[in-house]
Amino acid sequence: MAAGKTLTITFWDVGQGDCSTIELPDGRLIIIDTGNRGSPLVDWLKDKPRGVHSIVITHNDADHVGALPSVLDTCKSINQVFMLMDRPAAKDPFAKLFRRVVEGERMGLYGLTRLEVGAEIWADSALDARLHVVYPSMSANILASKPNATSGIICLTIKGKTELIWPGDATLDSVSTTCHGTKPYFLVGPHHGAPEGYKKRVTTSSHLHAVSPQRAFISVGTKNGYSHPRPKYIRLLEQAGAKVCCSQLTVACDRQHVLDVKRPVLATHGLLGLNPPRNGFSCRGPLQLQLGPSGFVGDGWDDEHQKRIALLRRPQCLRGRAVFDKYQAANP
Amino acid sequence: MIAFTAGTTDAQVAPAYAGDREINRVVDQRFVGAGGSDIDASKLRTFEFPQTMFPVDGGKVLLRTYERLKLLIDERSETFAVEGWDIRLRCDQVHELPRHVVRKFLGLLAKANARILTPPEQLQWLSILDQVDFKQFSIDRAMPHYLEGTLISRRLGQPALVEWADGSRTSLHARVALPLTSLEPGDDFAAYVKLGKDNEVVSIESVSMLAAV
Repeated sequence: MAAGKTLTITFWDVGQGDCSTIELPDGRLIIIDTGNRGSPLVDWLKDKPRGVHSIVITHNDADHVGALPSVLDTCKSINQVFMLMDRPAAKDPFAKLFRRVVEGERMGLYGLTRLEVGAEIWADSALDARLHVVYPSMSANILASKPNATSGIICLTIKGKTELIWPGDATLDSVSTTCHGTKPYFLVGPHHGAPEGYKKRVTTSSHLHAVSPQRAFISVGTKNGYSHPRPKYIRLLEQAGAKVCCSQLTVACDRQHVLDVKRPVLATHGLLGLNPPRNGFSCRGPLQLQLGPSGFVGDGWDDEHQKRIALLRRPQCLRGRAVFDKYQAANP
Repeated sequence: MIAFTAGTTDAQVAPAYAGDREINRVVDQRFVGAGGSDIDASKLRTFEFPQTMFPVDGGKVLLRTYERLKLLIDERSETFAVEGWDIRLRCDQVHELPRHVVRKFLGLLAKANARILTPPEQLQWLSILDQVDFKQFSIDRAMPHYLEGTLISRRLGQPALVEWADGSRTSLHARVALPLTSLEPGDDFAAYVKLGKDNEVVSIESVSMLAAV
């Protein structure tokens, strides 16, 4: 990632998990979710060590936080760690996963802050940019019945407009409530392309139209056992006007490619100087955005990716787009 | 060593180098199979380099290509080019090809990491990445990760069962689990773990015990 006087945002391909980094104008990083154990982010940080402004954990599931001990060990200077306090610290898996975080805080290596609405992670007056938390509230944070229901929603606002949303595994209901009418440039997921309640077509459609993202990135693993992402959700996203791409290829798009060809559709990792994940086969792979004078600019590999996915058997994102185009033609 | 593709059968265009006896043998077999002199000379220009693994770092890491590299022979200048790699060598330098392949790859990788690839280099890098197993290369080169876990069970000469801090369990081959011999089942430990494809544990080092939570 090139260091400059602007923001470079990378949506990593970590397989079935989530991980994004924001490279700040001063060269430091904000890490939003670390991905699962063995995350390529750790390999990259070992090769190219750098200071970390903040680590933000949207919620405490292993696919979002599994690499946290490795990341903490690899990064030499960290200012803040933001995380939910939704599970009792005495609970065994929770306590083991966050042992290193708690130890680091006790040793004064960084501050540990509860992730809740109103928290400001980073702000820059020169860029008029702000990264902040819009969900959950303190009570939702503590009283959550399911981990996904309390997943944090992080927004990057540029010049007062919400441009990027990281909803972790939050429900569509939460996303549409907190980000209603924002029309962001970019939406991640949520929940690897299968947010809770997506089966209710009308509700999902209205939620997505309420947010109206221009682009959506679904971080998903080839070998996930949950049938993520759901083709229906991708189609609804496309119908809401979002151009969708997935980090990895799944059998829903091309079974033969996954089982026989066993190669990435596009090795974007190498092209962007990033490390590839240890499992799965990349479709779009990672995606990088850079903040330019007139908004965010992509990494330049979209066209090549589009050419290649057109050769797949039944790419779900293109099927969704075809439905959208047909709808637009019928309802100009 | 060079092998021929289906359409290549003429011994005269084979690059000359120390191992050409092997080529001649292959060529002779092809000649017999193709019916001798009725061969279209225009098709005799493509060869496949049979080596698909190229040693990097003195052989500690291998650069693997998905398929054999295609060599395009220029008879007039007695040189060959590697398709999609922008490498051109004299035919008698074919034994130098693995070194040039690795040099080309590492050179472009360094530029990609520094984000200073020119547009033509980007296209060339894309072509090379389509041909090599970049994932395996990166995994082989990656340094061990710091991981925390709990030893669930271990018996001498038997696979050991470990539960990592994220709750997932892994059965470790007895040889890989050897550094855990000082631990008892139930002990929490931290270690630097070399991970392979699909997070398979390749090796464990620098094991230390952690106080119980």
